[in-house]
Amino acid sequence: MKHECITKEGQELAALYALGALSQFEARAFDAHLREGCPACDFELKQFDEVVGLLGAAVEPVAPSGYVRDLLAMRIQREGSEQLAPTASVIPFPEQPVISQAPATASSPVVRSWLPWAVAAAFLLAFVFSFTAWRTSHNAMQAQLDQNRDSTSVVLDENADLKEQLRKESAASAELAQINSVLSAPSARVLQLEGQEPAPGSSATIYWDVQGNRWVVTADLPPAPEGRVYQLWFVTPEAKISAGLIQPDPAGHGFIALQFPSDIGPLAAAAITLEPEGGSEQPTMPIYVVGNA
Amino acid sequence: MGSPQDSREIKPRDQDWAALIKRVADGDQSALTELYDSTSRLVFGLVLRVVGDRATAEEVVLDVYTQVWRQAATYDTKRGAPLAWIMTIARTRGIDRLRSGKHEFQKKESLDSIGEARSATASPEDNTVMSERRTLVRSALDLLSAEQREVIELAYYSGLSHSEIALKLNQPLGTVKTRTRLGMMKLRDTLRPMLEAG
Repeated sequence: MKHECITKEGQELAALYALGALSQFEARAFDAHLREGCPACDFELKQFDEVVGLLGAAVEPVAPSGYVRDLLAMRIQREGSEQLAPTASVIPFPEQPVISQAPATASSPVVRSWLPWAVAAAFLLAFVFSFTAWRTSHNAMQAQLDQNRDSTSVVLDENADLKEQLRKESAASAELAQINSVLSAPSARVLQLEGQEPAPGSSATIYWDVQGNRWVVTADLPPAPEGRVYQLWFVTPEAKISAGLIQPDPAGHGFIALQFPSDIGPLAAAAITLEPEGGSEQPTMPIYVVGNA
Repeated sequence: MGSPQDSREIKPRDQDWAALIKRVADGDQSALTELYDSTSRLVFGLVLRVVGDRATAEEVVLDVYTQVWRQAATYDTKRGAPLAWIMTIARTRGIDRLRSGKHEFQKKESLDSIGEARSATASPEDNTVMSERRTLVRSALDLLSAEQREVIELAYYSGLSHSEIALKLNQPLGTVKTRTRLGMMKLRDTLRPMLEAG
């Protein structure tokens, strides 16, 4: 694949890649090509990236409403206080100076009579006073800290919930985008895979862009037992070809998108089996879902 | 147009923005506000062009600057001009929102209203450098054939992939790819002085 000077195809890929107009599979392949180290394509892409970076400048500027600026300031402030909360726990307490001063004067050799006692008593008083003051402020700070921690943990919980929700939503929209992309191909087909004996409630759907050799597979399966994985198989008259592993989320929903060489032969069926960790060369059963092409 | 002198004029502005992004990375909120004040009209203009609806575009703008705030530390001057970085975030966020499909139906109607919004905006910070840059990029786009411009705009503003563009324009995929390649090459050649500036 590596080439010294840019080819028409490399140029095309770089231009489409910079515009974000490649399919996910093509983009990944081009990524891999760049990682292998291709200075010609790399140079081409950098320039096209810069062109794309400039395209936004062609648009007429428009002022957003004034409140957007205020909303932004509020949002950033909220983010800022979330970030600051944990550092509150490292506020230094004022015990250090009290302790370090006491031994310094006690070791003074000059004073012998009552003075050391007076000094010691004074320091003791000072220490008790400081200690009481420290305790009071410490308690107040502790209370403040606890409160902060409570509100932080509420915020963090909310944050985690939101993140989880976002993750799910973006996973779902990525999945839909892929399905949509396959279905918009003129040669799209949909295969339904039926649940089999181990889990009759299971199901899977394969969206297949026949001409583009792209496949998007969604599956609803029971959680895989420890040390086992689900594996997808394409069955042709000649062979059973592994099409990759499927890792369902905790709710049992799995999704993969793949591109396959066009020369695998006519597809007769597709199936998902449970296999030892890492997958198998050939299906070893049991079949969880299967469907004919 | 496109003389080396242009690029020298444009550069100082980029340096200001790069310095602001650096301060944002250090957690300086006032730097973010400054950055917002000097770039939000460009960002909003782009996002509005992508999503086609003011209210949605404003939500997206909020997200864009929140992302700038969070990711400022990852910005690397070597990998591109600061404004290009912000505009890339803006475009990506806008297209994400467009793809989520909620506002697609409003698009056509509200595209017409952009013209009005434009004329209503005075441009205090739209300095000559930026309008110069806009003129250059627009004239570069004008040099493309209508077909080349169409495919590039569909990819850039609508976030369509080559196959989606082919479907939309009812053209063979190969034609779409060729138009994109030729169009991008022509843009690159025309904009070369500005690229070297970045």
